[in-house]
Amino acid sequence: MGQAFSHALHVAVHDLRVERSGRCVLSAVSFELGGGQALWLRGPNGAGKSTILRVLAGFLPYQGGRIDLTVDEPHDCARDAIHFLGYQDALKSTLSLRENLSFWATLLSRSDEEGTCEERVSMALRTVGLHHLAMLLAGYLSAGQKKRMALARLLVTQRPIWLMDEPSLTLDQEAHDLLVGMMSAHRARGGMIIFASHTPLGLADVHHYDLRSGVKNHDD
Amino acid sequence: MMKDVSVALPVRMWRVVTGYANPTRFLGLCDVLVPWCASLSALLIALGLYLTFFVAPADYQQGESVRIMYLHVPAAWLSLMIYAVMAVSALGTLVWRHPLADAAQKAAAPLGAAFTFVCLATGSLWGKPMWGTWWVWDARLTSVLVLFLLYLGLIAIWHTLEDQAQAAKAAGVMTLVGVINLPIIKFSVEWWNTLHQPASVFRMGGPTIYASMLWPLLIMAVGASFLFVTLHLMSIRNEILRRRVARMALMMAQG
Amino acid sequence: MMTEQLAALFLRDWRLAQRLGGGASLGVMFFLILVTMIPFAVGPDQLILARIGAAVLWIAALLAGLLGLDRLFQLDQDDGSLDLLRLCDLPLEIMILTKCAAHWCATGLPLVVSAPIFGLMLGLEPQQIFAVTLSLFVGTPALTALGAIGAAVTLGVRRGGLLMAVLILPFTIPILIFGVSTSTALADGMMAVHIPLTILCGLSLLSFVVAPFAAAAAVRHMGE
Repeated sequence: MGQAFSHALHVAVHDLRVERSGRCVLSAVSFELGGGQALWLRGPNGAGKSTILRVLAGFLPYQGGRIDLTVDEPHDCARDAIHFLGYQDALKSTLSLRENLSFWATLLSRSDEEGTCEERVSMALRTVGLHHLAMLLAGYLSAGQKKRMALARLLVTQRPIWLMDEPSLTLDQEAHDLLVGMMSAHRARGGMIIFASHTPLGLADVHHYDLRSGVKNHDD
Repeated sequence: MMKDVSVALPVRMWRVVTGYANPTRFLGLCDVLVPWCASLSALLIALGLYLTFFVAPADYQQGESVRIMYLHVPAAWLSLMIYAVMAVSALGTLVWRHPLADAAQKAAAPLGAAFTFVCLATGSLWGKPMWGTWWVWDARLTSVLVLFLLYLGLIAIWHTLEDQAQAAKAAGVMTLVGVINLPIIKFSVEWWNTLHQPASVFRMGGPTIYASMLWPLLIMAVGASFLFVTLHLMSIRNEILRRRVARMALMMAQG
Repeated sequence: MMTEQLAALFLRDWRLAQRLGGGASLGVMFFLILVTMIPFAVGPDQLILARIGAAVLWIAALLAGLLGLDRLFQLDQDDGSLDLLRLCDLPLEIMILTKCAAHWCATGLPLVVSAPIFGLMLGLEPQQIFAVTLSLFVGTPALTALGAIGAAVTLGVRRGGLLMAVLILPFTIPILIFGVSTSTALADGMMAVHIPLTILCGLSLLSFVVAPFAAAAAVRHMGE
């Protein structure tokens, strides 16, 4: 599903320095990643994994170093090339699942998306196994189901860069396999994933960056 | 209406059990009562309107506009009576823990607000030719307006609080606190100098109103009461069904 | 494409304001309560009430309008939607303007529509009621826009509602002045109304331009 992403996709972070509330939380962070690759951010709690993801997404400013994000057209700027999956699910409990997804599908998509909005929403709901609850109000879902809805959001529009903060949290085994499948498929299309997690999630061929020591390694 | 899904299973089951204790029987009761009450109210109101327009005499001072009284006064009585019904339901929720009391409370609030609004609007329309103004801030009108505000506040509680059980308790307490307004309304025309006329029906010495005016008034009042009962029962039925739908949706989500 | 995106945002915000039941009708109820309380304080003298009626309606609309403005961004930030909105290819400023429009339609417009009824209760003349309603129609969108700045600045602050009111109310004073004088200018004839009304329009348009930029800047900084 979905066309392949551009070969020009590239992220380069040089000597990044981030301060919050006057305190230096990240320093000398450097890594590079290309299309089709996945980077696993590892480190203890508080090491700054979430901070890096938020800086890459453009939600936080940085005080030193450089971030080079190369995306090919039709993305005019970095921010519409990114999907962000954080702790929160961005679900409105008084809207139905379909209404929630349709909103993000309309707002986050470009004019050249394949398929109509309804088709993409239905496909996403089917992929995460929530299609039979499409008309249900989101407030009735369990935590695991809400996380699946957040994953569905990643499927309604095609964006090359996925930034994911602890994506496997609250997922059961079946949903975990779904997540891994989605991430593998995204990489196969040439997309890039940077994720923070305590485990490599069972993905193969993953680069990892250790936030304690600032060392980047590659697992084969 | 959202349920707290993190509550333990035994507590959820207990809630389900007490929730279903009476509603099914009540729904059966509704199906029997509603058609009767509806027909009775339609009949009485039709009779009352006929008497209002064709039988009751015009007032020697106000002329034909006095006929608004036959809408205005029953609406006023109803607005007070419905508040009393809500107060009893509130006691049902807070003291006796009857499972349907909160549904009765929630259903009565909009009806009470509607009748109070009709009372205020018809009173205003009646007052303009009589007093020369649409509104005057005398004790009777203001206390009825305050009653309207109390109704609106209670409706707001039901719609704003997501946890309906909590809303029931909050609304119950506020209803009981607001009961103080009822005697103020009733006796406002006696305690203060008001533009509004004093009581002519419910007084210590008996009604001072002519029989030809009294009978249409009473018939309209009884008809309106049956209208309220009909709408109230239908509304409680809707609320019960709404809760069932919510429960089913929750079970569906859990697979 | 942009119109579809903005329409989706407008409809979602509007729908949420309706369904969370409280936003729209609660504002009108508060408006009614404020109008009811004035005669208790000032006395039921019709002449005095008619004299201060326009001012009462304006201040009540101001306060009732500020109610619920702190939810403009807070709810979205709480569930992570605000972050995702920043990943949209549309400028944040335009999205904020759209959110303000949705909020005004849901909460401000009912205030404007109910103003004539409350004007009657205060004993205003029909022309005065017309003038006040018109000035509210033109001025309340500006209040929403200014309130958006306050809401963005107090994002995540506990007791943000009061702080927001304290910050924004001084800026609403010009709008209040010209809003009320739209009604009092009637004493000089119907034509004199257009002077304060035009200035009010100008203030509103100015706030539509300034507020989105200020609010967007605040949203970006408060996210840190």
